Amino acid sequence: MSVFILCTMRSYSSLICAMLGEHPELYGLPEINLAVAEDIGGMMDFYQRRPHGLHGLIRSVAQLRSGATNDDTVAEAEAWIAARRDWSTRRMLDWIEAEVAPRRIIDKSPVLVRAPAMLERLYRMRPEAQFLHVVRQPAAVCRSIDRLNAAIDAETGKSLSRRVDAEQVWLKCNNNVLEFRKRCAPGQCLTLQGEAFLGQFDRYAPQLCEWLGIRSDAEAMAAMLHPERSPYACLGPEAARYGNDPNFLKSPAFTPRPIEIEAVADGVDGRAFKPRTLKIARQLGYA
Amino acid sequence: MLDPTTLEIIGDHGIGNPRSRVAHSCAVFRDRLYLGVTHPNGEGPEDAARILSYDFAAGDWQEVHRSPLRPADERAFAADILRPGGGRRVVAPEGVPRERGFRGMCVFQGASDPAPALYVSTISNWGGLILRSADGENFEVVSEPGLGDSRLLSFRALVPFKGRLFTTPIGSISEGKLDRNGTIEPTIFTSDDPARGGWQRASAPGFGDSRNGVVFQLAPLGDYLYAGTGNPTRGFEIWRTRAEGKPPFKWERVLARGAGRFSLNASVASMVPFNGALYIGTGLPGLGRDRAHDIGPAAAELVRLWPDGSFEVVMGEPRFSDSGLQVPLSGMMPGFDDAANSVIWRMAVFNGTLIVATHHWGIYRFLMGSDAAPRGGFHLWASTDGETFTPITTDGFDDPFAVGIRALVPTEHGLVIGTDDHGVLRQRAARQGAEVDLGEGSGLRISLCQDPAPHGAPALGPFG
Repeated sequence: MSVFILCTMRSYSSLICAMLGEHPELYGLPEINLAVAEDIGGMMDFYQRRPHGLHGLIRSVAQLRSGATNDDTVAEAEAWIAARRDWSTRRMLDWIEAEVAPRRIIDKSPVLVRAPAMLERLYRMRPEAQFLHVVRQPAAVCRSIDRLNAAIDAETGKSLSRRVDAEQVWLKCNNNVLEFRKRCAPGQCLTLQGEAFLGQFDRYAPQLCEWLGIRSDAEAMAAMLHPERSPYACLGPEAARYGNDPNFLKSPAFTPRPIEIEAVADGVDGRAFKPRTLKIARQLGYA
Repeated sequence: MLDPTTLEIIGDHGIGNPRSRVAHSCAVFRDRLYLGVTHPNGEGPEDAARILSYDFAAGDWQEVHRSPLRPADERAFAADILRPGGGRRVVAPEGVPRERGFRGMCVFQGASDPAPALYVSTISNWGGLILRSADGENFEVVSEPGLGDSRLLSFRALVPFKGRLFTTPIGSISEGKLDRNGTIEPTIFTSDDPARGGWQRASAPGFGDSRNGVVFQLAPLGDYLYAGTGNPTRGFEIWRTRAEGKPPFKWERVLARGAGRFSLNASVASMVPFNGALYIGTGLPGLGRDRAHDIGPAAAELVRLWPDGSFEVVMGEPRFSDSGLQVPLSGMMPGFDDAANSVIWRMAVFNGTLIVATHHWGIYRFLMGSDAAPRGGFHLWASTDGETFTPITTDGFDDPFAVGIRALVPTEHGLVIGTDDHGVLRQRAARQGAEVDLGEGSGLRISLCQDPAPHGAPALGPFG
């Protein structure tokens, strides 16, 4: 049974996915983004102008086929994927699952929560999957999105940071997940505050294991404290450099520490949140 | 286990006044059943709140107290914030009732009471009062309006504990507006001699947190008195005190953030001790949506709290929590798997069985056109272990207009069940073409139910 993390971007999902992925019974993937389209050809078209969206899949294929991720294996993986444009994305997921078995895959692909249709496709691909809704305080997410976009602007000369409404991204994505959750069976989709998992690892990690039906002994707990051991927890070769949050790729180690949570009533940087944002934030436990 | 086939109606159609729609408070005193009835609007003499007394042996009711009338002033016309355009619209020349309801009732013996007396809290636009009766026939006012602040509409919980009586203000009137669920005084009052007044604050407002906007419920368990708050920002909190020394007492918080469901568990609607734990019923007003604080929609949950501060979701949403992974022990999702069960309005323990009663808004689906025929009515569930629940009724005992249970009192004669009847909905449904027996009108209903034998198979939810 596969595990999919559903979250807004910049919500600790790279770190949490990599940590859970180090559990002996799980296999943490980079962002494979399969549910953006029905087939691999459609996926390649979807990412034609944003090729980094394919990096996670390319790195996964390279690693699973060759046991290593370097220029050569990445090139082979690209060719291997391109030769399978007619595969359904579901078939590609079947292949990945078979490759990592008996471990179960855990994936985080934040792009999916932006569109209900993609979430619906993901559900149709794996109706028996478990879905983990990872959330983070909205002000922290907004600042993180703004910082990322500013960095991209500096690199590309574009003006992404002025065009993106980070609060709206947080609101829309979490709202989409909450709506998606209604179509799931009881207990199939649970919400987890990223701050609680990272700040109180010893309290929350065993709960996740219990929910996922995997062991929670000391060895498994210790393994999850080392996300940097994931083969995907570093910048990749030039042709498939990312597949995860760039900051995580540059600094993937986890240091347990309490995370202070701001009051949502304070808004972000002196600007109040919309009423709808406050409502959803409070529903998710951010007071 | 309760057997619905034993249901015996002992009072119906408002017991002499079909405008008496809410069986709001109830207690057994001197071998008789006492019932405080509430009129939602209180527009004229016919809406004067009453206290009724029932003789179990003779099977008859007697009115023992009726609210006096008073001139209608500006407070009589305060606008109910939950009912836009509401408030008293018709005022009879005789005036309006001082009390339109009796919300709390208990038997207590204070320092100057020679014997246990019946204490009753009122709902009044001029400040809720505490009434006392030594004989069950004569009722005297023993408090100032609103315990000194006439803006306080009423007092909800009325609970004896360690020789003291505790009560919590609910509802307020200020600047021409009536807020029946909020309060301007989110605190707890106590007196060891309520016959003479002597009310003092037992806690700091909101327990020191302004987000605790109201203290809804009180319940004793072991050496502690527990208090449940309404906190629309973070979710309900549970506080407790040993009530030692002089008030205000020392309180400690034992549960917060709506038991991990946050704002969707904004309020504690009911609490009862059972088998060593405190069972907590939650709820949101109206159709499961708190419009004043923009919360919901959501159905109610049932949570149990242990004296060590750990808790378990008995009926509700699975989730991660500070108390471990929560999978509902009953196997049932919020609202006993019914989204229209928006509040756990009352709970009681009867012959070793936990009884849980709801508010159910399903009838509104018909009135809004989404149901072809009237359906709904409160739910009543029973459990001998606090985990496996059996439905006693899921349709208001075949009355979709009986939206909830407001009185649930165990007696040696059976479990007393008193309803909240939305008579106006009955009339609206009739106008919409539903086959509705308007009969003698509407009004509250009081029944007795017995538990001669186990009933039915355990309910199974999505977790089997």
